[in-house]
Amino acid sequence: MKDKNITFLPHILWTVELQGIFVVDKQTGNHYFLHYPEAAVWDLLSRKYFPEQIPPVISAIEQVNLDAATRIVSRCLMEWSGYGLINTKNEYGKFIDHNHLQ
Amino acid sequence: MANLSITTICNKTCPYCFAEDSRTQYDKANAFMPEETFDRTLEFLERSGIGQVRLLGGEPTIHPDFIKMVDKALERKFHVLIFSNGLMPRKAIERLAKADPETTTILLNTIHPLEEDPKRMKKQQKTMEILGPRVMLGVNIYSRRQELDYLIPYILDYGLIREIRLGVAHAVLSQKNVFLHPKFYREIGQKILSLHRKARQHDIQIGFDCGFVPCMFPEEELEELGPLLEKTGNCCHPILDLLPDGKFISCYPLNNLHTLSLDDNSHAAELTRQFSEKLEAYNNIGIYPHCTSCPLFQRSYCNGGCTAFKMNRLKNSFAYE
Ligand code: SF4
Ligand code: SF4
Repeated sequence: MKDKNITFLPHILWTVELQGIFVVDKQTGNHYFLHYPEAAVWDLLSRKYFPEQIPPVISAIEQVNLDAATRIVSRCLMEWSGYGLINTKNEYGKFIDHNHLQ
Repeated sequence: MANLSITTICNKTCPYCFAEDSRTQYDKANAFMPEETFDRTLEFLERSGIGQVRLLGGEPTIHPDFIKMVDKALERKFHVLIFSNGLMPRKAIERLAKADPETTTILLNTIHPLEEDPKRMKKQQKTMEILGPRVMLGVNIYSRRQELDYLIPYILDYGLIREIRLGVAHAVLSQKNVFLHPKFYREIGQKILSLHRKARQHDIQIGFDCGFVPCMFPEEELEELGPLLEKTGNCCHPILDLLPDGKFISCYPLNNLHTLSLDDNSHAAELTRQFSEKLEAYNNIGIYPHCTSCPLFQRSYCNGGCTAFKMNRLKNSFAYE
């Protein structure tokens, strides 16, 4: 059973734009424009992908190896957690289950 | 500019009503603006350098103190603009019939005669007949199938003001009203252009309310709009709608978002600034996903349309709910 350890916080709203994803914190008004591939990571999270399922998809979209894709995903999760966009139970690095990826 | 919603009660149920969210928020006892709040509002308008009292509702003419309010505003040398559906109590019509058309205007909101209940339509027409040169016709476009051909004959037949106010029915945040989805804007743009051409032949002006965008109209025909073109694009700003309880909202569709109270120091410019600040984040997107790539958006010629619709595009999806 995979750990349900990431949620978008309730005051975070977002919408898909032609060039990426616009995210806004409706409490503070802080807003972010996520370009690709970050936008793809956000989109996959919103589609209920578990974090460990995302790097293979990013690897295929971006034509990079799995390690590089895993780094992209980890960086996204770390940043978004820092900005208060997502809720994480564990440290961001633990989202990525390297054993599962192999 | 500021609109005074003196009552949330209405004697009609227009499907597109923007006041939907605020109407359901008030019980009957608090649905009429008290006289004391109205008096403070006149002071607020004077303090803010606003020369017009704009009364709306609900249906403002059914407020028990409606006539008194009109008289007070006129005494203090305001121009009075009344947003009405034309179904006015007899006393209100009688009072307005005596008003100087230079100082009092009734913006009468209509829908196509074929869609209107015949009894109500007759009553509306009677109001036009009696109030003639004080009446400006308005219409809120809420359906792609809406026809606008009936407006010019009304103006000519009843001797009304030679101007038509066109509004787009925008979605309130709860989306409980019927609204014109932006995907139909181009279709409606064609109808507006055709009305504009016919109106010009009769020396009738067209005016736009908030939220019109240039891409409603074919690029090659934009010039035809003349000065009206300037009324498209950057046309979403806080309006300042004052509810009967003395609370300001940015505009009706954004009713649920944020409120500010009327106090003895309130000033329109400061309230507008505060609302604008709250809405600033939404200036980064438009009503369409492609707005951010639009040259007009990038050159700040268009701010991407109605903020309420932009906000309705936003979602909050929980990854694992
Ligand atoms: S910014 Fe959006 S709404 Fe405005 S003209 Fe461009 S595409 Fe149309
Ligand atoms: S959000 Fe802007 S365009 Fe939409 S109704 Fe309010 S003022 Fe008008």
